[in-house]
Amino acid sequence: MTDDDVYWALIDVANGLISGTMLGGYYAIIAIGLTLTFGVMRLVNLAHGDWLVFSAYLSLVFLSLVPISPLYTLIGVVPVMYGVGYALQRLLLNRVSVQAMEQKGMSTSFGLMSPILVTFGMSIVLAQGLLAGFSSNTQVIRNELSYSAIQLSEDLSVSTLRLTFFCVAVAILVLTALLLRATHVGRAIRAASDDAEIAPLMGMRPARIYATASGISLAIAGVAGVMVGMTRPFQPFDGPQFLLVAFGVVILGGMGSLAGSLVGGILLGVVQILAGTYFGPSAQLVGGYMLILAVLALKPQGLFAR
Amino acid sequence: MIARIEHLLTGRRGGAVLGAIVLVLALLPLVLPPTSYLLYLFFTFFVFAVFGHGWNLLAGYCGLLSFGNQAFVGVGGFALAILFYYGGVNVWLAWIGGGVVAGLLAYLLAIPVDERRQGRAVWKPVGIAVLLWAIYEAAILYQPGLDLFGSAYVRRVLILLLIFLGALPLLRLQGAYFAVATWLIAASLASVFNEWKVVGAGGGMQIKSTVTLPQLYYAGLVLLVVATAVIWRILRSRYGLALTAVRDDEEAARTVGIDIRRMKMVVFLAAGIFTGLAAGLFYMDAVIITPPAAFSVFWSAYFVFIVVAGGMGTLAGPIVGAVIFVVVDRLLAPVLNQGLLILGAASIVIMLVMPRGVMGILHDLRSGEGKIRLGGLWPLLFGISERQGGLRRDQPGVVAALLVPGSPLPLMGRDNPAWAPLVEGFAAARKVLQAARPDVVLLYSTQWVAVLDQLWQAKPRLAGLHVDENWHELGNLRYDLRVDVSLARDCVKACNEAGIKAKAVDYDGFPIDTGTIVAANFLLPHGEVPYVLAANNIYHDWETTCRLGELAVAQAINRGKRVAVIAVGGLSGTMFREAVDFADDRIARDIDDIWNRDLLAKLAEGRGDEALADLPVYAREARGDMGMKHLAWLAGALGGRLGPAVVHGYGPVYGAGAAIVEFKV
Repeated sequence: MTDDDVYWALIDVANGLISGTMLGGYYAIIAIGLTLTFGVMRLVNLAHGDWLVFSAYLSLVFLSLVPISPLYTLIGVVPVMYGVGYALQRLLLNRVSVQAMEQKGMSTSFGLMSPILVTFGMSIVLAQGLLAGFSSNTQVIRNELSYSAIQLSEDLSVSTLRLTFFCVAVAILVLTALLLRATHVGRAIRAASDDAEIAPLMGMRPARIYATASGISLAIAGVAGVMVGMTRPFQPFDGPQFLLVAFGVVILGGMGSLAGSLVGGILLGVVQILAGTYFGPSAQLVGGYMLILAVLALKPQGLFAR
Repeated sequence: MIARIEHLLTGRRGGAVLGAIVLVLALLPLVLPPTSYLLYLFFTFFVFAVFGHGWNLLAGYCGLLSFGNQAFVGVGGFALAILFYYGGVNVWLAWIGGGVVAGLLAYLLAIPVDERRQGRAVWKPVGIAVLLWAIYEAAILYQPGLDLFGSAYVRRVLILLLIFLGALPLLRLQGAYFAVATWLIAASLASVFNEWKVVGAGGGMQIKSTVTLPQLYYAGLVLLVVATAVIWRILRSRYGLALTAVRDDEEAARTVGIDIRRMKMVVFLAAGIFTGLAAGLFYMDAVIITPPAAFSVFWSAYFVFIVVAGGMGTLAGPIVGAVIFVVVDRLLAPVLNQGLLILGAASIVIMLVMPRGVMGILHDLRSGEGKIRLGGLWPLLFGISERQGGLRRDQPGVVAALLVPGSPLPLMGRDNPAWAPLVEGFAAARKVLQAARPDVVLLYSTQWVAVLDQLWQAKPRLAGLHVDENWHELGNLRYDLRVDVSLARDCVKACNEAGIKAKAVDYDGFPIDTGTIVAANFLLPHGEVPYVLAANNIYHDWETTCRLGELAVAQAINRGKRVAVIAVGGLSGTMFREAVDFADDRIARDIDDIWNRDLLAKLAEGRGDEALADLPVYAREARGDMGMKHLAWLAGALGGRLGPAVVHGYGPVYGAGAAIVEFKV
């Protein structure tokens, strides 16, 4: 082996680590919303990925109305998605919770299944709705960032867009953590997630708190959707892909742990990029899936569970 | 009418009626043209009903939500295509082969939950598999013809994935974890198949066979009948009864020693095979099979709709659901051009409005609970309030008197046809009780045995989980009862004044007997009315027990209450000593049956006095439950005599006799 071979092997690894980490930031944004609803309501929203794709389309709609830079569409997308999340929880998901189902005389095991079934149905409806509205053509949110890169050395570089996302992911994480820790709303959310039966006695209304948490979750999914739309082409049926990634990240990081979603995202990103580098492009996907399944098998509470 | 239909299907001649339906379906292709659209619709119905069975087995009976059953669809379909196209096998043999391969996949996924290969032991087979794989790779180096995969990359990834799936303890996962894991498995297989040139790499394969629609129709019919029969058989076995116990409370089921892993494995295997076989039929008809379509998560959307609409956890649910599916998807959706959108939205609405599906609604209508389930909607729609009658001043006194058995078997095996008369009897007794609108229930159970004093329950709320001493393997019984404490304390006082030494029990964890729980669950499942519970002191004779009934009613009337008197106990007392299949339950001794029928006939004919007079003989000859003291409680409460009665149900509980009898007051 010559020095040149060693150099390129190292460059490959370094590239894998850097792009994997950047990819991890992007995965973290996708996953934060999901981990929030799980942490607060023990609810796994199987339509999470579809709402993300929905937000990307929403951004496109805004762009077709007013010619602005794609990042500014967040001003419209985030409040809309918050409203969607709030209404969804209030009008639909609160009515199929374990407690609601038990009141209808259903067994606990059925109650635990019902939100999963309903969000699965929602995933199907959203994908089909987007298909009806926008056709199956791939779409992309055009932007100037996606073509630029920052050179770190002669043979190493970072995509500006990916770096931006990484920073946005960290920012969202910090903001969400602050929101939960330092604000009244955040304290109410944490209280309700700790003990849903005691919280009402303290004058809180879990129905509203859950709706707020769900609103925040989908607002973050809105940010993620716009970012995803700026990075890669998307189609109406892409939702489940994002859900599987998000769920994987959440499993790796530990259900409900915010910092865990960043760590889990980076881990998944690095493994995928390295698998893709050494075993070919489709190993990227399969490698990621296998990592998630392995953690599910060995340590289902997550690598960094509290 | 629903009751009549259900009776027709599940009653004594149920088998004949179902057989007739199948016969009509079997004759249908003879009268219809071989390309008839109706025949095609029926074929679609058969296939999707089997798909529904497969999904319902996991979700409905094990509480395992699978969004990856499309893995069985894809693997079963492609195995058929490969065997047929490359192997040149007869298409029907290839079809069976597809089912076997789908079953193998299910087995692979279920292996690590096998009791014998727990924990670390899983590494041994994994090691062997990796070794075999290495040998195979080496062999290919020398003899490239041995490579059946046609691509080094696909071969390695697929084998690695399969070894990995074998090591994954899938069935230990629960809830959303299981749901997403199954989804991931299907997605992984899809991405490997998409790259695989042998199966057409994304473009898929063709199954150009010469099968005709009538052939497919018959294969579908046979598959549906066989699948239904097999599942029925699984559910009727002891395992099947335990399955539901596991679904409702896995922890409790484990503590009573049910081998959950084995059971889940059997069910998972059955689900894999049936789904694979149904997929084979589907693709023989569709001809073209592509990885993106065969492994699509939309299959799961279909399965969810079929089972949720029909009724989760019921045998007939997937069949009913498949009918609805065919109507919605094949007849309505093409008109509106949005099949999946409608199915997805319909699933959500069904979960909200009728979470137990069509079968749940039928059940409610039959047992007269429809009004209660619909809650506030019913009075809004029809302007009737259940409570309106309460405005009238009601006279205190005994408003209902019932004899019911205390065995947990009918409660825990409601679907067992052998216990149907008792289950139906309980439903009738429940209606009697509802119509009587009692303020309190005075209940005496032969199974609450006391030794020193006459005990009365005086804890305001009794709630918890009970495991029957004899039938623990059937799972646990939940109970949540309110007690009329002040009336119970009155009874203790009256007892002591009458010279019967009595005591109130009021502490946590006091064991509540099975009989009380069974009666409460059947008769007042929502805890509508408070109870006064009296123990069966084994040293008390017939007369003393009569006194108990008498003074309890007197205290209740003192407080201005309308009371229902319930005696919990059986008839003839000989149970089977050997293992007997629940489905074949009958009265153990013919002589018992004769004595039981004689007693019930006397009661029904209004010869209560005669029945009471002959009771000592009956108790001796038929080995009557606890000397039939529960009848003494009733007789005492009814003023010393048993009036004309209605027998609502009579049947066996593991050899012993049991009846539900309503005494007119």
